Amino acid sequence: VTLKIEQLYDQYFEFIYLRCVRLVNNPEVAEELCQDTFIKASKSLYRFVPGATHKTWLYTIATNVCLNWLKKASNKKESLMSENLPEPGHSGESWTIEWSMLVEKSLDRSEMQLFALKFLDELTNEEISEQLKCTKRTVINRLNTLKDKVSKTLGEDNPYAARMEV
Amino acid sequence: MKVSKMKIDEYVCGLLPNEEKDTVVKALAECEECKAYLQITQMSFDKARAAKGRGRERVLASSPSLFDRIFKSGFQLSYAVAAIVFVGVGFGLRQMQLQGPENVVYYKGAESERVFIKSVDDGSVRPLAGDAKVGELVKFKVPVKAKYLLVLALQENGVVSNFNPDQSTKSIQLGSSTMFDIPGSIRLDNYSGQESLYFLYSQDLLDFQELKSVIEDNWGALSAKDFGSLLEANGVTTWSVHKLR
Repeated sequence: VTLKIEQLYDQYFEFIYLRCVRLVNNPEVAEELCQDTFIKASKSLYRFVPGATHKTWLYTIATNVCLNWLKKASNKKESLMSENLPEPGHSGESWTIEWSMLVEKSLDRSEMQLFALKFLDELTNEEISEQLKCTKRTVINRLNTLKDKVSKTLGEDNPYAARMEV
Repeated sequence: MKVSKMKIDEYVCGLLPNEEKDTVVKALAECEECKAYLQITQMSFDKARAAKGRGRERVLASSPSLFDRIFKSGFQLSYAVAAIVFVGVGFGLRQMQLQGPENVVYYKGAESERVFIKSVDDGSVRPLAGDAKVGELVKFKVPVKAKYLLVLALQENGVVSNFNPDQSTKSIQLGSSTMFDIPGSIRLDNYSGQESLYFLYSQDLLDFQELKSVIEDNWGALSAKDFGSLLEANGVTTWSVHKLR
């Protein structure tokens, strides 16, 4: 089904905003990134994506937009926990010190994406495989690699390692 | 019973189908963590409603789809589809692959008049109708269908690059004759995996960085194969160079 960007905006804005605020935990930044998501979608392939729902597709773009922002903020040495993100906990308890440490210190973009889907969105491995369009086996393999990296940054007794056991 | 935060977001936004709504309602009745998240999400939802009005103008004023611009060349879809040179391991009869211990490129296909191999030994150019070796150079001659052409290479792992002999990041301007001999060549390297070349015709200059950004933004929602199907379905000539070790 072909939808115009206005229709996508009307239907999914709130959902995408919630996705952004959960990742960056700052309402003002989330608002900006949410708009950026729809602008990217409008310039992009929304009429042509085969086999993906508009919701899934926008969700992926939003995730990429937010993770890019987080990575850039981290590269600029702006503290993700300081005044740039003034309301920790605003979108829920999902924003953690550990998440910001991982973004700043160790994870690349695809690992951040996997981490966000697993621990911020709390998706099951099956739901993650649907999101990333890969097999469940691939998700498990990638989680194993992620577990090692997370443990190196946060220590062996970090709260995520056990949840990555498969 | 617990449900994901994404499901709760969908519930709050009224995007869940009925059969899934029941599951979330049940979880919200039983799961304290879910209830707490629901409360926070409802507050964020109110902020989202306010933000929605503020952002509308900026979003709707953004420029049109990149693909609208590519297809301004307006050539017939049927013709474009016929022009597809589809070369791939496991995808058709016309194949190009590296095989055997010497990494030999083997090609069989009907479109060989458009693809040439330049020998590294003596510089001679021959149609790609047989074997080629790693290190040899592949050259292309393409039909002129529009004013500009941009050749994009996409590896299966999402790495995007452009093929422009002038080192420019913009489209190549095509001449007035019916066929265009693209200057420069692509060296067959030891890359193990699929690399696809997309020939994007347009009436306006296209910028490689813009295309690259589109692909990277969509990566995850689109695989390399999806992207290829997408382009082919919309009339972009595709050349896949599959290399196996």
